[in-house]
Amino acid sequence: MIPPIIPIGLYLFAAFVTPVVGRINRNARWPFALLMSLLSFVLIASLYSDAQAGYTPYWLGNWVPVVGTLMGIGLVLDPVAWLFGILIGLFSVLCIMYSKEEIGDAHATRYYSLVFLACAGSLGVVFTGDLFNLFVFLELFNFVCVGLVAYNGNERSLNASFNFLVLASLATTFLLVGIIILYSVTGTLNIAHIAYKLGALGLEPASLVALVLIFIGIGVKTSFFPLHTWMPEAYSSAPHGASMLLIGMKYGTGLYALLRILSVVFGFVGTSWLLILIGVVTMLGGVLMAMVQSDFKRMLSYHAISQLGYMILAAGLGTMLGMTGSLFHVLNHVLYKGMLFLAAGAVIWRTGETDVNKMGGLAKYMPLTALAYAVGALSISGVPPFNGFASKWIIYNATFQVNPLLTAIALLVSALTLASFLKVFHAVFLGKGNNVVKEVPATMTGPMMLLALLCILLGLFPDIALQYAIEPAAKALMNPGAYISSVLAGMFG
Amino acid sequence: MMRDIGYWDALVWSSLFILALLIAYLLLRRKKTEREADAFLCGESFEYTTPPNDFFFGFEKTLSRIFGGNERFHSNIINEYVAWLLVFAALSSLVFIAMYLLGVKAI
Repeated sequence: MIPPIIPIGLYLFAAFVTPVVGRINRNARWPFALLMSLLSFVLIASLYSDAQAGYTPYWLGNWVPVVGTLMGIGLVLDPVAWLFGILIGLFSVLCIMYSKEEIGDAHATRYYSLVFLACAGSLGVVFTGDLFNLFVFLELFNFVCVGLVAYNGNERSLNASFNFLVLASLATTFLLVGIIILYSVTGTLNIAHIAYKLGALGLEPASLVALVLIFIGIGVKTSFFPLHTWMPEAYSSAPHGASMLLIGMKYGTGLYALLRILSVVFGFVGTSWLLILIGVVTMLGGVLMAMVQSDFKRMLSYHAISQLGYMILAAGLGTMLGMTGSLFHVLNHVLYKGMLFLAAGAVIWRTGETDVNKMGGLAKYMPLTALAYAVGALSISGVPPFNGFASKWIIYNATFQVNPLLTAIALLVSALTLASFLKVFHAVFLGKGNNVVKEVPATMTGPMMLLALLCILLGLFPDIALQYAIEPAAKALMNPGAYISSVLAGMFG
Repeated sequence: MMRDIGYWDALVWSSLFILALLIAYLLLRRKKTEREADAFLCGESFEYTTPPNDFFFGFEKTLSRIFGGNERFHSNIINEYVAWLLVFAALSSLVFIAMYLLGVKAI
């Protein structure tokens, strides 16, 4: 087994070595960065069999638990961690590939280092089995995000990064205080150990306060309504490749941490009306804001919030079908939303315009970008046979089992999403416009085409992903007891 | 799994999608009457352009209170965003405490 710390370490290594490579040969930075991201992706992919075998704890420094004592820092590999991890790995490759032309030569070193640090932070969140380490990795990811959002250096991006910095700092304060309280109650920081001790103690008032603080702290990272306010400006101001990367990692950090902590630490696996309510409000709030946007990437950001609502709603149902739909929608959403951000980035990069009112007729000049956008738009709107429909279909079925009204709301949001995307597709790619431009280079169209292909394949053959990645992950989240007993094996003699 | 919750066949889905594309293409290609040719959408002739922002004018007008409120909420002013965070924190604390007192096991 390859220890899961290796890909995290490789990202950190790449982050610090890229500037050295740049000093030696500026032209070697991009190939080096691409090679490192590919290697990390392969390493994460190779963890598949260990992840599917169950919960595989890896104890740093070989500090394995002995009877009655747990001292070491553990990483835990399971199907959920692998699913989120592989998305981070894939997106790091695509981001580096896409950014070659967009970022140019001047500040590429800084950019690649930030991307690798973001990957290390989010992968650490996914693989860690320790609550304090989760906090540390989350902080690393947050501060790198601030750098990526501010990367363009204009007023808008600086303002967005400042807003994000303030809200993320507040959120991490909530999270840290929550973790401190849990530590004071249980005397441990290991997630499984905390869960075990809380199970024995029951939910005391102090643990309840910790739950509230952690819920709010992670809520800001997950960016569900109304804690999402930082996100639309932040993601629309970042470099285009970074926007895609951040969308992929948002779920690898925020949503993953939320589901993992609620499920394992606090043992919530039943129907959660609070999560359902948050999911519904997030879906509706996001899509209604998206409909009135004229900024291309901001519109996509609001749709990302709306789609997050589907995931939270489905996870909150507390059924196996709901959790499966939620995780499948995470996978599908990351693929098509990543592609939509890349397509929007390509258009903005070529035309220099961010306002869709000032675009038009670009399908003639940028046919591959238009194709990618069309596939993404149909996928996110839940049109068969694209991947968005497959996961939404599961979510519709899951919500129908709990309350048909939820299904009606989910269908309505899909219809509004389609309306919004049709508007933008027509405005940007059809009709006539002022912009006479060329198609973007192959390093930019390549990632878009790959994601488009994945969207189509996962739409036509959803059972492959469901069988080999999604269902095992959903089972793992629905059975926190197995996580706890596997990680703590050896502690009880 | 998809077959367990409904009909799912890759070949049928792709055939239907291709058929829909074909119909759309034929509709676009057919000769338009003069009246139809006058119709316009955003991105077409600048003289008669409907900007994308006005695409759902009626819808937005009808729901202007909802849209307006939602837009005011997204003011991009950090003080207000922090205030919303604190309001949400207070409200969710109340919800969690109520659930705790009522003995509800799931949130």
